[in-house]
Parts: sequence; structure tokens; C-alpha cells
Amino acid sequence: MKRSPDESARDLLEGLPPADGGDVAVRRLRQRVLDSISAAREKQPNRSPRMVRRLALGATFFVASAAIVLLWSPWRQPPTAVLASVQSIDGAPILWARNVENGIEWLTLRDGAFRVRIRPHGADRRVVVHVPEGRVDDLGTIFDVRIQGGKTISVSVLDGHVQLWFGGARGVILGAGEIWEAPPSPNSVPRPTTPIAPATKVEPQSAVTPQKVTSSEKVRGGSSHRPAVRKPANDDRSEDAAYLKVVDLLRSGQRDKARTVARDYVRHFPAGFRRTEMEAIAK
Amino acid sequence: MARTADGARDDADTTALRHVADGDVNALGEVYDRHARSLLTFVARVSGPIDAEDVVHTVFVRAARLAGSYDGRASSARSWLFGITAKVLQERRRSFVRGVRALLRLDSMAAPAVIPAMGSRTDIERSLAALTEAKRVVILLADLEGFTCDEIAQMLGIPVGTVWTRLHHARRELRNFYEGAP
Repeated sequence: MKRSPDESARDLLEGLPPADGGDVAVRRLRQRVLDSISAAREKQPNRSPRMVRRLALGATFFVASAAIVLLWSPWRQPPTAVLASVQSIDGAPILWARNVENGIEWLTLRDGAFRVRIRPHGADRRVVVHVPEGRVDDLGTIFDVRIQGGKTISVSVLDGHVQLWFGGARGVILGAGEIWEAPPSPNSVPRPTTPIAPATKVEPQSAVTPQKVTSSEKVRGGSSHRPAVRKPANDDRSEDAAYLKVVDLLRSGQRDKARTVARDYVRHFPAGFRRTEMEAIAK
Repeated sequence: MARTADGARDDADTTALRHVADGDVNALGEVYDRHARSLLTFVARVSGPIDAEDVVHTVFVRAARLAGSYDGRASSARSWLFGITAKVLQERRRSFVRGVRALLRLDSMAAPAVIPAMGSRTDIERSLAALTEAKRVVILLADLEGFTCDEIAQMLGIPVGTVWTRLHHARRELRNFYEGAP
């Protein structure tokens, strides 16, 4: 008698080989299951299941009541409150996207000049900013990012710190007033290498607008390129900050980085208070 | 009216689960002895043999915790256990997909297969592996474990019409794959 299509499918399945793993596996799993349950019950106090159910009911009622109170609380934050505000620096259109999941806020910056402000938050939240080549981690900040033609041109910090994770800038931390700029492409015109004239004055830094200071350092391309981190000049607080940074690097054993920052100090603060010590470290 | 073997077994399961709820862990061993093999077989065929023991372990631990809520009004302890198994499989699959998505967001990497390879050896196993997990679950529950579509709908928390549709497509795809039809 011809089998129906459904019966044919059932016949096929009945041809499946056994798959329970064998007697040994089944017996071993039995012991494991009973041991797990025994261990779990030993951890619980000696209550009857009925008492456990009553306690669970009471706890559920309490949690539900607390949830109702919190929902109506004036200081309740909306469940999807965002931490970061993103604006265009120059009013031109910007291309970006946001996604929030599991306490992490992901910003993807595609094109334009962005001003990103991240409000203070607890350790259970985090903001990660993706740029075309990698990401910028918020450490409590206001910072600017310029992206053009699918390439990150610069990152400058107005307040707080960020840590960069792309290209030759992996792991670099920028503080307030510091700027990272992308190295020029190999075909671009070389930068001028004349040093800053000592008489060159830079206006004192405002808290909002970091100054760019021209540097005599040559920009090297490729993966060994050091990020062009620029510091404001002729500012006591910046001079102290630069000195303290060298000290921190030395304490953490990063001798090469300390030497680099010391050289920057010597270059930017020719009449600096700690020039002698910095020259010794920069050698 | 003569009691069927299934009916007697259901009574035994109900009694055992009541004892488990009252704290008798050994009573769970009786339930395990009656149902573990079919659960292991089912899980191995749905998601592969590698995780089958872990999944069934989770099922029985959860069953021990939920034993107090089993009141025998479900069609049988067997369908109750298979319902827990289907939920555990669904949770594991969703957790795996979430993990893959998080990794993809953190860094670019080639997306791994969502369902691990089952290492099928026979043609019929390969044809089963070619089905989606949703269809595989339904066809195994219906055609190998013998549950009705109503029972399957209750286990999986889906409409019975969805069960019928998945079963129909699963049987057709199984047949077509095995017979080499387009």
C-alpha cells in the first residue's frame, strides 16, 4: 500500500540511529543530576516546600510593591536614558547612529564634525564611540571628533579624558586640551619643520576651545607613527600637568613614553620651571 | 476501565514529583529513569550531542525546583518535561545569538554559524540538520516522541496552527532533502 507523504517522513525518522549517549553516559548523568539537586538543597535552610512557597509569595509581593513605588518616583530615569549628546560643531550635517543595549551605549560616527558630551554615570553604564578605524572610549568627557571621507581626521578633548583605540593611537589617553590628528597620507605635501619661534605666543586656553600649537616634530607615517598629541603652551597648569605626566610614566615603568613627553615639555616650555630635570629625562 | 501502561506511568510520575516537591531527591531518580533517555535523544537530535548532557542536566534540576507546581493536570509528566526541555533549548539558543551579536559589535570578525555543527553521520541525520531548529523540534516531538499537536503547542507556548504549519513544512523538507528533490 502506498504510504502518504507524512507517513514517509515518519518512516525516515524512525531510521535515525540511537543518540542517548549509551548506558554509561545515562547513569553518569543520573548521579550528576541527583548530586546537583542535593547540593542545592543543602545550601537552603531546612524549610518545607510550603513555607518556601509562602516566602516566595511574600518576596514577590514586596518586590512588586517596591517596583510600583519606584515607577512613580520623581527621580526615576526613563529606562532608555541616554548618556551622550551628539551635535554638529559647525552646523553642517553629520552622519551617526546610536544603540543602547545591556547598559552600554554605542555611538557610531560616520561623517562630519561632532561634539560629543557624555554626562556623569555609574559603573553600570558605559559609552563606546565607534569611528571608522576603531573606537574612542569615554572616561568622562566632552570631546570633538572630525571624520572626513571615511577617515578620522582629529580627536580633541575639551573636558575629561578619552582613550583611543585605532591605528597608531591604540591606547593613547587624551586629556583636556589635547588633540590627536591623523598623519598625512604618503602622497601629501610634507609639513614644515621649522621650530616655533620663542616669541610665538598662544592665547591662554579656555575650558572649551583647545589651541593647536605647531610642532617642529616630523610626522611619520605607517603603524609606527606616534600620535600628534599637542599641549597648550605658556600655561602654568599645563606645565605642571606635563611634568606630572612624566612622573606618572616613570613610576609605571614606561621610560620611553616618559622620554617623549619630557622632550615635548622641553620644546613647549623653554623657560619651564623643571626644564633641567626634563632635559635629563629626555636624553 | 483497564488502565493503560501510560496511565499507570503518569500516576507514578505524579506521585514521584509530589515527593520531589516535599524534598525527596531520590524520587527524582525514578522520574529520571523513565524519561532521561528520550530527553537525551531528543536534545542530541535538536542541537547536537555535545551539549545534550548539560541541557538534560539543566532540565532535571529545573524540574526539581518546579516540581511543586506540577499538579498532574498537564497531559502528562512526560510532556511537562519535554516542555521544560524546549524552553531550555530556546534560552540557550537566544543566549548564544546575543553573545555572537555582542562580539560582532565589539570588534569585526567573521560571524560564526549560529547553530553549531551537529557532526551528522547518516543521510537522515543530515536531512534533519538541514531543518531550522524550530521545525526540527516540532517534527521530533510529533513523529518520534508521539506528542499531539495540541500537546506540542502547549509545551512550546505557540498556537496549534503554527505547530501544524511547521510540521507540514518540516516533513516536506525532510522528504525532499532525503530524496534529492529540489
